[in-house]
Amino acid sequence: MRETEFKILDIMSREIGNPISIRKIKEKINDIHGHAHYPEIYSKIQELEKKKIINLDKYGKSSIASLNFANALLIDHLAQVELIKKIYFLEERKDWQILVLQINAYLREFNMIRSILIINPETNAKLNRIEFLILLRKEESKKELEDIHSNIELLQRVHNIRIDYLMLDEESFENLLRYDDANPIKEIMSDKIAMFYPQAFWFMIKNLLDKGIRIKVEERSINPRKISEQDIAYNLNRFGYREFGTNISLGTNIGTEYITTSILLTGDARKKEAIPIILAKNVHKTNYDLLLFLSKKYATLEQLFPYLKILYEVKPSDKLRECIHMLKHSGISENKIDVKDIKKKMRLYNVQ
Amino acid sequence: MSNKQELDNTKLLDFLEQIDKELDEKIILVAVDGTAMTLLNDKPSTRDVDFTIPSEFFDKFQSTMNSIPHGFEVQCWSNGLVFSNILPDDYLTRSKLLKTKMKNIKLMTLHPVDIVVTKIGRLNDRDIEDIETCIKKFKLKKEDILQRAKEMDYVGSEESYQTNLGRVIKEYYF
Repeated sequence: MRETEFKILDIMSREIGNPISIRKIKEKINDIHGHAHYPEIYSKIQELEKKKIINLDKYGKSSIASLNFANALLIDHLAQVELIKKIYFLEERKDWQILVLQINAYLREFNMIRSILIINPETNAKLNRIEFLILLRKEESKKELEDIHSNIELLQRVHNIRIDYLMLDEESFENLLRYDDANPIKEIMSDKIAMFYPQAFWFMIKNLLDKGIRIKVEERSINPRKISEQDIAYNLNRFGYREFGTNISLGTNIGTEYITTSILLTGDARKKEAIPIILAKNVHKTNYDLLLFLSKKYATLEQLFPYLKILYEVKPSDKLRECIHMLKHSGISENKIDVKDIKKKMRLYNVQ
Repeated sequence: MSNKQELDNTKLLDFLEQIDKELDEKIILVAVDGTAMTLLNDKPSTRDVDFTIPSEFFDKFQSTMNSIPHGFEVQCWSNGLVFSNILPDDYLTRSKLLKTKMKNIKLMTLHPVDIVVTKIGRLNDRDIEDIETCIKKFKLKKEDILQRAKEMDYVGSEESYQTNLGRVIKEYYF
């Protein structure tokens, strides 16, 4: 694959769901890959259109490009892009090469794993950490899941690079992409490398698009430490909790997982009382794997733990039980909270 | 975590640049020990990330660093304290300013004599190598090391420190 073709397809794969003009492709290539020569990009895009790898539609004076998932070969092209990105990322990083080799060795035997992505690789490498998303097939084997967790913990013991990982099955991945609420899954497309089984990953994306699911990529990732008071109040209200005396104005729709993590980070005791209430009222919108992942990433697991326990008493579920079991066995201690007071508040909100 | 990774100049600066982006005010950091030598390109890498920080910036740096998920082990001391050594107040004016792209972090390294005297208390194999590098590269005088060691306070065993100091002087100056 030629360099220009790689750059074009890489940019377009980051912009799934966002129509993009040729001029915008050129600007983004400039930002991410360095200098871009417009005539060369233009001519390569025409070539890709002739091969039906991409579609080009005219809107006024602009030509808007999109990936043509109807072409069976597109998946292979995109898989190639991922492999090239992987090589570029790893070639100057010997210690990461060893880690990636070992990830492959430790996890390749697990049939449940559909694909593994690493998220924000360059930024996280500068912070000596790796963040990965493990996409799982629908069939669940609890034993296999536990073994995957154990193997990753073993990897962490052996490596100095901090490992944060999230495991999601296809349905959860689909739901998180589908929801309007901002969440980390909508952010991954803009900066990731499908390190293992990239074709499987792109087949998943194709299937989602074939189902009519609109994938809206968020370029800017949310920092839960920086979610504004206004957005927190707006989303708490949306999720069924309103503090007395708070003015609510329109904000950004943000998922329960980010909102919960943000509240735990602010340390606001009153807002923390909202956590079991919004989680209880939004059971189907909350992904507990994602919530635990964010809590671990931002070191709020000890704070979250007691709220999950109260929630389990009020709205037990298999998933919650698994989360609590995992937290207990990972040696996380729990912060002390006023359980009576919180339960009283939950009754006020009709969640007990 | 096991097997500490070796951090070269680029990795150290990359890490600090990520912290720099999150800071909302200017601070001063003074790199010490192996971190200082790596930033000065006097050694290829370090296993540890160590700073001494003027007290008015200490909490800000710590809280900003802790707000960013990262995988480094960073040791910070305040106001000229380095491991078990308490440097005199002029440690900051003697420190060297490094030119970097950072907007908020003013990055400095300890004076080479201060690097030497803060390693003498521990004097492990790495320290011996680093002391030799500093003495040779910066042509440090015996009198400067002895004088600075007198000015500095050592919290550990004074007797051990003096023994180690004697050993270093004998090794490199006789």
